Amino acid sequence: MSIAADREQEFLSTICAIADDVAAPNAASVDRDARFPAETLAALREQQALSAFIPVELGGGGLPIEAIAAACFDLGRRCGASAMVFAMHQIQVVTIVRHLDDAPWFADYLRRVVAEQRLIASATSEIGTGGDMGRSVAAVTPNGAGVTFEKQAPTVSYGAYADDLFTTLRRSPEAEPGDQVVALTHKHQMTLEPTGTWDPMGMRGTCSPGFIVRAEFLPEQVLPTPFPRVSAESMVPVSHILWSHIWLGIATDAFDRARAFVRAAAKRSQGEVPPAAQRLSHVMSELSLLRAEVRSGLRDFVEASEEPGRERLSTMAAAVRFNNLKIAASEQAPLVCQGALGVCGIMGFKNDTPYSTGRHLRDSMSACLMVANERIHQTNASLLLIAKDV
Amino acid sequence: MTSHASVNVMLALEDHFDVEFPDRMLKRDVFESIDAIASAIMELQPGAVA
Repeated sequence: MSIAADREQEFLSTICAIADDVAAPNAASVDRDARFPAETLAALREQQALSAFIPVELGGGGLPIEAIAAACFDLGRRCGASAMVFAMHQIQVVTIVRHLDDAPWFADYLRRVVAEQRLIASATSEIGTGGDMGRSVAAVTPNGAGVTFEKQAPTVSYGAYADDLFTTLRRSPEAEPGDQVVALTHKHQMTLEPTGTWDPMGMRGTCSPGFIVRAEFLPEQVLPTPFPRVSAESMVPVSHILWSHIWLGIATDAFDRARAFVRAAAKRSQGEVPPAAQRLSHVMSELSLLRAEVRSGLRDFVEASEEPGRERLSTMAAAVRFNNLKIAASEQAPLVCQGALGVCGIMGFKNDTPYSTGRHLRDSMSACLMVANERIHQTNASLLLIAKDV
Repeated sequence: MTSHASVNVMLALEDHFDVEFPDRMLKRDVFESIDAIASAIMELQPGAVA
């Protein structure tokens, strides 16, 4: 086995241990109290997991996107909210790493992420844009030698717990809504004024209320690559890939619980196949569809990223492909969780049995509205008018 | 140009010049300026754009 493969294996064993020993025992209280999964994040920091994707030459773990996706799956099996915090941080890291051209400030920043295990949140949605991430109201605004912004963000996941914030903005106060850049600002450069509470149906540990974010920072904290390119080549496909691995993880654990329930029933009545077993088989086939789509999405992204200039990722066909991954996985995961609940019956419906699947179902229901599926269908509908080989 | 606006421009160009943009051309940098659009049309239909 190569050294790289060894390191990846070691990383994933560490993540699995954190998922089993830290995320799992805290998952119920994180969910019940809608509290930040502080124990899991402390364990991930201790193992340098927040810098796993950062290149070795910047001091990071140098692991590939496949390892990060597998980690999202492993964490998602034990605590969806912990996995989502990890994934959202990694989306920002992967995005910065893939767009380091002419961005020396960001290379230095990544070294700090390694040394200090800084946690990055993001503020990409905004009040007044109708849910379109490709438009901004807030702008990078000159102020003496520095720049400022004020953004009304309807949700900032773990905003109150992050060290830094990655924010989409118009390039300047005169820029069009679609002329966007992305800026990275530190906690000490910002104020976050909460604009609401956080008592949602699922993914409760992500602690994602709205904030008015105000920041004063330096012009070099704006990524030089324009956001439309950053978005198409990295942020959107990576988000859809890492999220869908979490949803697969959640659905897989719901299935595993249903299987354990059926096995326990089979042991009690040896010699007969329990009625729930056939239902389990139906859930299995739904799970395998989800798994196939999630895995092929990752494979397509890796292949397209290896091409020179990442040309394929900026085509409309690629946009449609990674949008479909998000739509399909976000619809399929709750289907599997609901099927698992049907297998387990009242034992799944109760929140305090080994077969409880309520949290899985509730967490998975967030998938279709993390960027609303109808908004994505609207984009795809438009692209399908012109894209051919989809 | 927003992606929906881009699509409308592309549809109109395909109609006007009676061409079909292949997928490799359907990306941001091909439609980010008039010159870039003109050279794409020229490649598909030499002589179409004066």
